[in-house]
Amino acid sequence: MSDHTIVTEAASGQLRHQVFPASGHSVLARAGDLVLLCQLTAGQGLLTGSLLDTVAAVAADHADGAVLSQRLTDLIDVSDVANVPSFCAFGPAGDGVDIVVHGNAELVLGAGADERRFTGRHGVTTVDHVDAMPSGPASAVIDGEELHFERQAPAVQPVTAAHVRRIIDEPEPVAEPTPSPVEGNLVLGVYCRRSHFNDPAMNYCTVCGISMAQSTRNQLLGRRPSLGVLVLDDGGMFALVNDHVFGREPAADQAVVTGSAVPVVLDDHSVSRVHARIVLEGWEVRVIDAGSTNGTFVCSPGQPEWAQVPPGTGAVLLPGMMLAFGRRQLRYYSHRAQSVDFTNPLRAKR
Amino acid sequence: MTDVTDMINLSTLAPARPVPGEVRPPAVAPVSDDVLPSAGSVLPPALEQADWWTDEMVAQAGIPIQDVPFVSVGGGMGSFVTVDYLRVAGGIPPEDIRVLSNLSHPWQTYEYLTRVSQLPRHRRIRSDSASRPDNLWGFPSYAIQEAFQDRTLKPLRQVFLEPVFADFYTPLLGKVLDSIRKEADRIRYWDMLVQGEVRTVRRRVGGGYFTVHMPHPTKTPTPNPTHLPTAHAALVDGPVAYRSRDVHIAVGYTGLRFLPDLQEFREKYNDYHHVVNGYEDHEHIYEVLRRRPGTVIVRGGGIVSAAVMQRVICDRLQFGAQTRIIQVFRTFFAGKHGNNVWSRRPGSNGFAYQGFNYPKSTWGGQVKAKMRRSEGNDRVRIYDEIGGTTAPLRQHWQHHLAKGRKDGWYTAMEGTVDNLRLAADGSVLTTLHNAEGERDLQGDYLIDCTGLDADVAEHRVLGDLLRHGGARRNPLGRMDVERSFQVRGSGNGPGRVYVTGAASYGGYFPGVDTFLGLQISAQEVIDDIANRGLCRKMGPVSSTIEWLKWARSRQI
Amino acid sequence: MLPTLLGRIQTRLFLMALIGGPVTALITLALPLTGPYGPRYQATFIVLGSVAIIGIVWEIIYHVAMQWRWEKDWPTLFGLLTLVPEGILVGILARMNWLPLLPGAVPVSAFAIQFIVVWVCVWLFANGPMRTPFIRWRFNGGRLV
Repeated sequence: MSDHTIVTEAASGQLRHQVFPASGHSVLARAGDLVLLCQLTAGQGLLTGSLLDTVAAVAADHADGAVLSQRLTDLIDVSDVANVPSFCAFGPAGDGVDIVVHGNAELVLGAGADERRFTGRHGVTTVDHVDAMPSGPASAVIDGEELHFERQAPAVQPVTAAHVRRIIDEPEPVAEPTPSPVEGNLVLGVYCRRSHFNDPAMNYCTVCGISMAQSTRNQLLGRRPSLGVLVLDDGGMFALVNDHVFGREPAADQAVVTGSAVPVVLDDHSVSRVHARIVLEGWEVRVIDAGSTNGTFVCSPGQPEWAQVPPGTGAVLLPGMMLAFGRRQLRYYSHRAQSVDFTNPLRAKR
Repeated sequence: MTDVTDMINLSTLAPARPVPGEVRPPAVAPVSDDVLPSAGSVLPPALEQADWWTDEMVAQAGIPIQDVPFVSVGGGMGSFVTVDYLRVAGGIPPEDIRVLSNLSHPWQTYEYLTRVSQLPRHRRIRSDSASRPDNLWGFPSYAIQEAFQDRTLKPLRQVFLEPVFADFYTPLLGKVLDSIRKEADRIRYWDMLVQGEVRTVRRRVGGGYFTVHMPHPTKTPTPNPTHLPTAHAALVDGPVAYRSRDVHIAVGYTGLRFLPDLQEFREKYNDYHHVVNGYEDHEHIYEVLRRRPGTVIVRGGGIVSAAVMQRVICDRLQFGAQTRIIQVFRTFFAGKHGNNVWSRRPGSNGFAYQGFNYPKSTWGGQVKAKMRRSEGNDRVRIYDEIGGTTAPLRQHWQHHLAKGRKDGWYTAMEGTVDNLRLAADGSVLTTLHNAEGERDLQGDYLIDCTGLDADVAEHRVLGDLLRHGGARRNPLGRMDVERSFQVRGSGNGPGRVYVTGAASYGGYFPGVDTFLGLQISAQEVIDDIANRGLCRKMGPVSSTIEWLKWARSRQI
Repeated sequence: MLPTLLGRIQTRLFLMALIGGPVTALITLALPLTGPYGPRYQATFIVLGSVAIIGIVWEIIYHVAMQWRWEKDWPTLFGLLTLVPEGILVGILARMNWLPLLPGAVPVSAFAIQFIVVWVCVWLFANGPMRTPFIRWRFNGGRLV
């Protein structure tokens, strides 16, 4: 890497919150009255970036420490805890302050008799509320390094969260296959004005209905909600909160054995033992043929033709699309659908 | 390999301005407050906090300024109808108007809402024949046009007999949308449209307003299925301040209204398919019910519930679906109802019947005249009287519901429901409260058909106008407007802010969130501008000339 | 139509003059009437004027009747059917020569033709073309001033 000058990227996006390089291994984000101090560890750039983005997004909504604390704990909740860097964060809530300390970090507020300490431990998050702010200086210890919050103007240029994310992850040598950046049920999405997590493509919040035009639309990591349902030709319905394996004997499939997918038995000799997989990826639903004898077919809404799903990567399902495993048919429906033509009906079970 | 920390280790810990020892109260009140904070953080604090902006303040913030006399914020049907009036009646050239919008075409949101509430293009909408957003005069009406195009007298016969001997004639959604598109081309709407998000409208020292607009970031031109002309490309990749004399705001509904128990249900179970809102895509319910007998609980007695009912009935007839319906009305109307003999609305079997959203004379007759003269509590009283959930009386589904009552697959009850939960067998349980007490209702699905919500303060621009623009709320909580739809308290020198559409509900004219209502509002706005000497006031001669141009589809 | 009382009266007087006048002027030539044109025109215009003036009373009656309607509207069909009572009343008055300034009793056939043609023309104009020059008319309950 070159001399790694951290450049100003302020005003490039919708936000102008400030993230400052702190001393040692840390980065400090300050947006309005919300503060986050976070350890920098190679390989944890995505979550570090998300923590920083969360502060910015909460500030952009003019929300307070209580919301910050909620969003940060939500984020930890849905993340692989081993990948969450140590951090401490606080912001005003009511007359006092709400605090989150996670991992190998300690936040010290006040001094002397007034002193209050909040300590995180590995895998454990401390969430607290202080009714009245202790007087005196504040400091934090992150990974054994003591840091003080001072009052002077920043001596360095601010950087953006995306930049931090980039610089701490870029130099990392790819020694072992990196896990998928969005693991498990964690996806990038947007919060509505009332703090419900949504598909970034939505016009209206899928939980409360408010227009998404009112939110700041920053993409943050969150727990993926249900993506919709598959309806089988006999009226069976499967909620897309998990991967699914369809076939005559799907229980034998590795994904089912490990518990990462739900088996669906289709008792029909035109269907292979393990016929196809339905895999959730980000906000997409993908169908992958599992080497079936008769193949897997899809048909887009409004189209007369069926198309065979190519082996390997499979096909992304769009709302309204029909699927055929042998002689059995299914249809994908989603509350997130914004424009679907349902003119060709799903054939009833024969 | 470089040590990551080296790159970051540029200085000692940079300061945090708010030292924990002196945490101040939040700059703005939290979410539950009456007026939500608005403008996001695109603006520097100096602008964010100031009710009045000078040209220098905007220049110092590095925000480029563009001058245009008239800005319309929203870009939906409200903007379209108002701009149509400005162009046609006011004779204002397109260069003097900018429509700032996050929509690519004016009917985008409207079409979305109609489609998900079971109204595809080939169905008829609940709107009057002479209420044409593409035509100021309402002549020729949709019925005449349809009769002419399809060479049939049926629409004319229906208009002739309505509403006593026939249901109200209503136009096809597809034809309405096509006509709007044609008019948009004619008035060169696409030359006026600029896409992006409006952040705030603030008063300018010296008169007029600044409207801060963020072009859509990194947004490549959307692949446009309708092949619409492209709007103005944003020239810069940052906020732009439009400096205008007048601002018109028509931002529609702030959102749909999902009731609190539906929200809780979704958050608790991560289940979006057993309990749905009528304005969401919920085809899966009909698909399953065609294959398995089941029970649907329908909440609400308005037009959306009628559409749901009609769909279930069609599926029964067409596919032999064995669906049972339990409909819950908050207020069950057994017959005619009203305060006195002069104001009795028809009703039966739970429904209150009305051809359109409000009594017809709201758009031109007695109710309109009476409301225009009334103030404060008198107005609220009239709103109470004419408001409420209603459905049009249509022979088709009425007939089938009667059959359903007889055969036992349709049940209507009165009460409120809450405490939604999922039973172990996957069915939905909800508690019904009414005069007889409390009981649980069980169904396979629940479709919530309650109406749209429009708390104005939750809208970024309107909330900002309440906090910084001198605007107030009317007795019904929406934006307080004059008879001319000028926002009270927000005038600035020669400039005015006008709000039309759903946000102006509760004013001197009630039918604001309808096609004809948008035209009536636009008429008032344009007359007000004309009375100030800033555009033409259309009289009988110019009106006829403009109509002839419309009839010949001549671009203006 | 969505009229107010004042709007009803204004619209009636205005359309009787604007449409009824020219139509009467033309149709008088073709009516089964005898005698010189002066008295013929006098008769037809007295009939037209009577329909307009007596109509003020009718409009008050219609207005009261409309109060029983929840929507306070006046359906298109009603605007046409009201020609029956109005026609009978003025027809009798004209036949009996009870209208002031009428030069003589008007034959039923001549009256019927004039009355129905004028009425239908006014009704058609009010239900469409009227909106073209007078764009505010339909929003103002039929008021023109």
